[in-house]
Amino acid sequence: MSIIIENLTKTYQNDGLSIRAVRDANLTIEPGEFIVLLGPSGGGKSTFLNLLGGMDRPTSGSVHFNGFALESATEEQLARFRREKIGFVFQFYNLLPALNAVENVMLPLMARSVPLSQAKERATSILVSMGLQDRLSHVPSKLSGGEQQRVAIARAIVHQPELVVADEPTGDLDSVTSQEIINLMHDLNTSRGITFVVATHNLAWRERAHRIIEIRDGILSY
Amino acid sequence: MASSVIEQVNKIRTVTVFLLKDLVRDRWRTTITVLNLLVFICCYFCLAALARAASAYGDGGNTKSSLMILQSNVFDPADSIITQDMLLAAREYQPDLVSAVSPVIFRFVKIENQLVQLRAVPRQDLQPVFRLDLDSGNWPQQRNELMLGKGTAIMTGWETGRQITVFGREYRISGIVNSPGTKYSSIWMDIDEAEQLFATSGIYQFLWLNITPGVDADEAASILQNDPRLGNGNQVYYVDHLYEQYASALNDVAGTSSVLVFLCLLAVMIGTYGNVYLTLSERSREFTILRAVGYSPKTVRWILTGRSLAQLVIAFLGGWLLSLLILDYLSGKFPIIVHSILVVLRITPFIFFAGLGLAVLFSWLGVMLSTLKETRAGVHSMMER
Repeated sequence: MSIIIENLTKTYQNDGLSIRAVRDANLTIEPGEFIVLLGPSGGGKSTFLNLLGGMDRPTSGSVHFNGFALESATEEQLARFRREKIGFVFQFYNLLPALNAVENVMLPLMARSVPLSQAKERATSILVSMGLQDRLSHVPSKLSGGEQQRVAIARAIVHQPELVVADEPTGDLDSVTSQEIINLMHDLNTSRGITFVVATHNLAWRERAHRIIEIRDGILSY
Repeated sequence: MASSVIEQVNKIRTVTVFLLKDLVRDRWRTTITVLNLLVFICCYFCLAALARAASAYGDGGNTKSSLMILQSNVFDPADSIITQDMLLAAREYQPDLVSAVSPVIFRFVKIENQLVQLRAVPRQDLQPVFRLDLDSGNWPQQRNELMLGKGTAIMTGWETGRQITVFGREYRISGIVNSPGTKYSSIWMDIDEAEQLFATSGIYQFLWLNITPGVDADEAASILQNDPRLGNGNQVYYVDHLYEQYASALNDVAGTSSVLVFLCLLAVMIGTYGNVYLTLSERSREFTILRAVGYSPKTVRWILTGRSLAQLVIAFLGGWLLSLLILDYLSGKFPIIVHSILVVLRITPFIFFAGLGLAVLFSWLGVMLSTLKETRAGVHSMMER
């Protein structure tokens, strides 16, 4: 896997003002890396992750993921890219309220047309490995914040993506639960070789990172 | 090829599972949407049945094999006066121009609170001249026996063997007959009995004439009309002329109903559009999550389409059942009778399947219109909403 980011820029128009959320970013991400993006709110962390994960399009520059140019892909191609290569973890979990834990984790597999029985088996297995064996049939509203985030992480890795991008994954959790989540993601990185890019304010992530990148006013600094 | 089919089957299963769970979870909105669609679909069925009945009203009686002679300028045929002399004059045209001539006494009478058409004719002419088909029971053998047109039987609920009282006299229904046009809804009485009952003699309301096979009907009508003994003060009609007049009045109803039928189906489209639009607005986060984890805009549209079609099918079946109950109730309590002819409202298989097809098409259009913007939107722009 290789991710090459060149001269990546994202400008938003807001009330007639141009806001450059990311400016001329250049970065190469190696397989198995655990990268932590640190920076203040509004510094461009989330925008950078969205561009990296194919959820947004750059104003200029490029993101090449194994040679696949995200900036020129159609919405259908980007959807395929996300379901095959990327896992997302959000600050507020973003689980579907109608579905239970297993079904939420099955979602990326179902998007890839994995047969339901296989998808259920894989989702259950991964949730059990995360210690959620007693919460499999619980809907999100019946789970604690830490449990919901673990379900969200399970959903992000169940389809064996090459890259997981996590936007403030511990932003809504207390310090003990945050540490559990940090440990969990680190274990996944070391045991499964999944590449992680985590945007956070939480300095506790620093000790787990292979690389720490600061982003401020849209500018990456290493 | 095989793997592609399997992939498609899995995708359909996935979408089905998802949308069923979603419909159950969102049951209140589902219920409201289904009820909303059900009302329009119910209106569609009732109006389509009315349009069909109004169109069918003009069918079946349109023949040129028989004529009738009726006094000119009478609004109600019961007011027409045709004399014995005219009957004899008409019979002079037998057999070259007409094969049969039969007098008819015609009245609207109220029997057991039911307003019905009474036609009194020579008993022996019922089948050969008036071409009635026996539906059940027997042809009348005695003067106190009546035949019931099938339309009247349906309208009144009277059956063979029943005794009814007409102007204080008891009569027995000996059979039920079927025939097209205005004859469909008549009570048939022996003419001698009617003359006694109504205290008349040699006075009829119209003459019925069957044209001799091979004779040009228009020419025969013209000859009879130009005979001063018959045409003076009278009008020679094709027998179903009156029926055609009634039918043309109902054609307007058919036209209006058809427009309303279309509007009902259009309302299904607008209802679906509104429902999907609201769903997308209120639950945009959930659809954004689906997009974020890799569901394509097309798949999300399929989910919304499936959701809308599931609601539509439930509403359609519910609307159909409700319409059957309504039409059944109306036909019993408030039958539609036009000039003594029962207008039967019926939901035919054509109405059912054409309605289902069009409703599905309009519903699909509703989904397409409401998701046009969504399919072009990127995930990030959806997140920002």
